[in-house]
Amino acid sequence: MAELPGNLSVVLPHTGVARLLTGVTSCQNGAVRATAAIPASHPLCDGRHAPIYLGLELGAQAAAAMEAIERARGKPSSGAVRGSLVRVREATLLAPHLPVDVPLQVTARLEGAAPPVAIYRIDVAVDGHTVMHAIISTHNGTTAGSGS
Amino acid sequence: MNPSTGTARFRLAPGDGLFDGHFDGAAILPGVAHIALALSAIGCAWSSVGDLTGLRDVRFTRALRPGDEVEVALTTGRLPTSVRFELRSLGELVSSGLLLFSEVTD
Repeated sequence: MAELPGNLSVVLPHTGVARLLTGVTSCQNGAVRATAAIPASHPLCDGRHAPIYLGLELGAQAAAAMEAIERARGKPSSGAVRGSLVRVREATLLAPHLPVDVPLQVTARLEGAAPPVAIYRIDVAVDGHTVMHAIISTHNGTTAGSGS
Repeated sequence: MNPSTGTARFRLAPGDGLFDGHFDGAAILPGVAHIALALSAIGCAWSSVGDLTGLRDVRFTRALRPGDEVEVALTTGRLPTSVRFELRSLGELVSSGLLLFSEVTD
């Protein structure tokens, strides 16, 4: 297995408060496990809580990281690419909020792909308890959608 | 009682923090911020709404950039606790979908 990125800037184009992933724990067999944290200064936070749907962004960033890691395994000079979240097929939100400044666990599993579109099943957990799961589609490029 | 439809308009200020770091040199609004705009519109148009519990078939078809003006159109879904939204900019659809809410408890 290729090394996981120590510096997320090589796999994610997000910077500053927009980068919510804090690390990649594993990336193999079409699935990525990552850690994340939402800073209290994030513009969608009220200082103490983040809206639960922000978990979709966590999942999209995890998916983008996995794509970048997979690209790097095939072509080491490749890096972060601006992708787009193009669809949330369904999402189930099991809590009203996400905590801020708290470690979160994020997984994204590739369910299918028709490049440049890929489908992922994502899961966000707090202390090991799932608080949101969803099926999302991403577009590997900037010609569609809203960014991920 | 909540109305069956609603609309709201927003202008995406170039200095809005939602564009920070997303992405440097080519800012676009994150997808989750489309949902935030829809929820803000619902908060204005509906007198009471429960917690957001789910999303169905939300599609992002066009990017929103700093300075864009956005119109949000809302209609009640088939379920009494669901709201369908459409975001348009310059008349063009940019995103749409169904938001599900919990029952409001007094």
